[in-house]
Amino acid sequence: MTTVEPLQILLVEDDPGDVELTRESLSDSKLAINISVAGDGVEAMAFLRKEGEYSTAVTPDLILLDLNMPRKDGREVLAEIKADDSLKMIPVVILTTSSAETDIVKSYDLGANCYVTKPVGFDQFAKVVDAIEDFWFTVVKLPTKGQDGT
Amino acid sequence: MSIRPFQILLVEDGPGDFELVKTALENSGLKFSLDLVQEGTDVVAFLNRHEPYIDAKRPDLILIDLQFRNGVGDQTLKEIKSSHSLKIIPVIIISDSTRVEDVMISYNLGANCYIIRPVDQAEFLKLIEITMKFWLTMVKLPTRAR
Repeated sequence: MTTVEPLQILLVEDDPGDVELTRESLSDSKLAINISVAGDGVEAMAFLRKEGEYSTAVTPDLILLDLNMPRKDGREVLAEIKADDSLKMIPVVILTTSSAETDIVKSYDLGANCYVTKPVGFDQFAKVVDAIEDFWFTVVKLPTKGQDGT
Repeated sequence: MSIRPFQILLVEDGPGDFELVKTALENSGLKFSLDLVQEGTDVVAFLNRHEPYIDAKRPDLILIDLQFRNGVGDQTLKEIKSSHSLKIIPVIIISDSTRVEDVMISYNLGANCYIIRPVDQAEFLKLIEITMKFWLTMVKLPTRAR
């Protein structure tokens, strides 16, 4: 049996350039991937909680989360997700330009599943996005993609 | 730039994947040191450097072998992720269970990722190689952030 349901990514990113780069990097994937974009933390939480215009939003299989954003930043979003029993199991990959030790330690402390820094340049960026996609979608067992083995 | 070897801790119940994980790390070409502790109370003693582990090195990454069919559960994961000083260390679950409930429990307890052990050894080795490569070369680890 094969599932044709696409994998759902929620990309939380305020920089349109980085959104475009991520989309392009994922567009040549062998996997069926559907990307939703939230431009800041407020939108991200509304999307995840299916509030207002997001009432028909699909629960993502993976969240790619930027740290520095207007209105509500990535640290606040991460803290809210990991404190919410209905959302905490969704893997959150921090994807940010910050390589500050305080951001890295704080993110893991808040429950980030992994922390990856954005490199400069499209080729390098694409390589990182591909590696994230490869690892999380082909190696890892995601909590939301369940086929009971029993 | 830190050049100290990657410190990996494997937690398992009985003889299992130590040799295979070691081979996967050797194949990566990265400098590493692999420690093994048995599932149970030993792990927290090791991580907190209590007797007989006063010289134990703090791991950069922890692999926990979960064998649901042997009744070995997620006590160690729970203890690590509820400890203020230990919770930042990424924990990779290697499990023999594909049951949705088992996967959910691990993520809910704070597992950083959950991997199902394939029956085929060659396939398993490849999976561990990819996993190590991802975590040790792509990911920023909290213990190596300086």
